Order: sequence, then C-alpha cells, then structure tokens
Amino acid sequence: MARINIFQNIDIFHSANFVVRQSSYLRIHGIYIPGSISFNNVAVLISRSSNGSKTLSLSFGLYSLNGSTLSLANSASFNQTATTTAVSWQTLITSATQDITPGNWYFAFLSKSVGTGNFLQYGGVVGKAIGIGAHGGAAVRGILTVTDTVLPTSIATSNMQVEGGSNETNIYPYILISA
Amino acid sequence: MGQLNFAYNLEGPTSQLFAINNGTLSFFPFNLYESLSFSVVNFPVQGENANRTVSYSLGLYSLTGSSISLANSISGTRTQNNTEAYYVSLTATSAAQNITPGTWWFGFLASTGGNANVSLLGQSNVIPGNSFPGSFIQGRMTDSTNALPGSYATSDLDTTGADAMNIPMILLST
Repeated sequence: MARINIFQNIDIFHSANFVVRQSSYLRIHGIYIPGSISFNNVAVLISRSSNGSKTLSLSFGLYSLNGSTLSLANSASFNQTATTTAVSWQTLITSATQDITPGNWYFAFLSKSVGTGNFLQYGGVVGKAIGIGAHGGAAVRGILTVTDTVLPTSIATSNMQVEGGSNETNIYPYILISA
Repeated sequence: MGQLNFAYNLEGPTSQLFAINNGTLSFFPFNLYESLSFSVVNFPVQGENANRTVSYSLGLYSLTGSSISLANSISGTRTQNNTEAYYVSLTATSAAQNITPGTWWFGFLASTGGNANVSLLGQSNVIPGNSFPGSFIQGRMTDSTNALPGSYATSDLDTTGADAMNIPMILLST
C-alpha cells in the first residue's frame, strides 16, 4: 500500500453543508484510510462569535474495531482559549507518534467550550436523519453521551446510539490528518 | 491486503433522492479497496405515507470487456408505512463470498409494491448530455425485468440522464 500525506473523513470540497454544533456527544465516524499516514497533524475547522472569551476543549480519538468493541489507539487534544473568530483551522496536539496503517478506523470527536459569548461551532456535515432503526452489520456511525472531556479507552458499540437511533447521529465533524 | 469491516460509497445519507422505477435494473459502480465479506448490504430509503412492501434484489457484478456479469446477489423485502427515512438491510446472499478489492457494480432492482418507484437517498450528480466516452461507468436497462440477468452487454444500457447517472448510498458491513 502506498503512503499518503493527507486524509480527511469528509470530502469537504464537495460537501455543500457546513455544520455547526457543540454538544456533550462523542461523535464517532467509521472511515477507511487507503494508505499509511503518519499521525502528525490533526486539524478541525472552528469558528466562534466575536464577543466574549471561549476556552475550548477539543478531543480527538483514533479507534480500531475488535469484534464489537472500539479500542483507543491514539488521541489528540486542544485545551486553550480560542483567539480567532473567523472560520479557521485549529490543530490538536497528538499524544503519541503513530504510523496509521491502511484499513477501517473510527474517528471520535468531542468538543466543549466554556466562557462568554456564543457557542463554539465546528465544520462538518449534517446528513439526512435516518429515523427508524439502525442499519445491519458493524456499527459505522454513532454518538456516545459523555459527561467530561476524557476519551474512553474502549467503547462497546452496543453502547453507542448508532445511525437510525437518534437525530444527532447524522452530524459528522470534519477532521483532517496530515503527515 | 487487509480485511475490512465496512465500506461505503458516500460519506452518509443525504437528502438527495434517487428514484428506482419498478422493474428497472440500474447499475452503478462501487470501489472496494480491500477485501470484505459479502454479508450485509444497507441503503437508506425515503419513506412515504403509504403502506406497501417493496422487494429488493441487488446483484454484485464484475465487468469484463463490454459485458457485465453476475458474481453474487442479495435480496430481501421491507414493509413501510412511515414518512421517515430508514435503512433497508439485506442479508440473504445467494452465496458466501469474500469480495476482493477492485471496482464492482451493483445491479439494483426493486419491485415497488404497486407504486411507480421507490426513492433511495444518495447523490444527484451533474448530468452530462452525452455518454461517458471511456469504459462503462454506470447505466440502466431500458427494458423492464423481474430478475437479475446473469450477464448484460453494457452497450445495451442507457447511460445518460438522471435515472442512469445518480447513485444511491450503499453501506456494506459485516
């Protein structure tokens, strides 16, 4: 398999929507990475209002699936006061080096902010809400309710609200990994 | 090459509809980059306020020259009476298969329970006025059918228009 320098979970240049959401959900998105890529830079797109001062807590988890359990392989985070107001790239600090191998992985993203002013927004996609029941087979997309900013080291997919079970599961944050 | 747990052709369900007409077989491509067990085929459908049962047959086809050939199939039915969007999940494969990497085609056939069509969620593409000048990419049969053909000449397919060029979202999972 060849090496790649860039991977994005949403083909942002072809996506018409730009999502804005902040919540207490860990948003989990199963993806396929087509080539080996160094886990050097993790970036998201954020924006916030111009009034007030927001302290952001952004957490990214890279998970692999074993049977019906997602296991945390690596992570990245950002915990600081946001200084920009326009839509901007925000990089997260990776916790460990890793050469991500090709295959199925799961991106998990959590954002929280405290402070004055309007809520933080991040770029992504709002898909069509699937109202009745989940699809068959392995879980691919879903959310997990969390109460803090700590990424779980393992997630039973049975604990996820998967696509079809909640109207929050159709919202996917945009995440870019570059070498 | 590794083994996948899932693969999809679109990032997620969109609000764009792709109408599959009753008895019309539509072929569209699916690139698979690593092997995957042919177990579950999922696709989102837009519901409607009508009580009916739709039968689905999907053929897994490969292309050799200008002929598309049936390698496997999966089928099932779904009764609906709700206006929400929902996933149809098919599991009845005709044979066990570990799908190898490459470009495959799904032949999508629906018996739409007394209605003219069923609306799948997918991607509405730009619709060129001419056929794609290279090798076959996608198209639909012009004759009605109630069964998946074992093989079909791509030159006999309609390869222009929205009904030939739009694609539904497909999620393969194990």
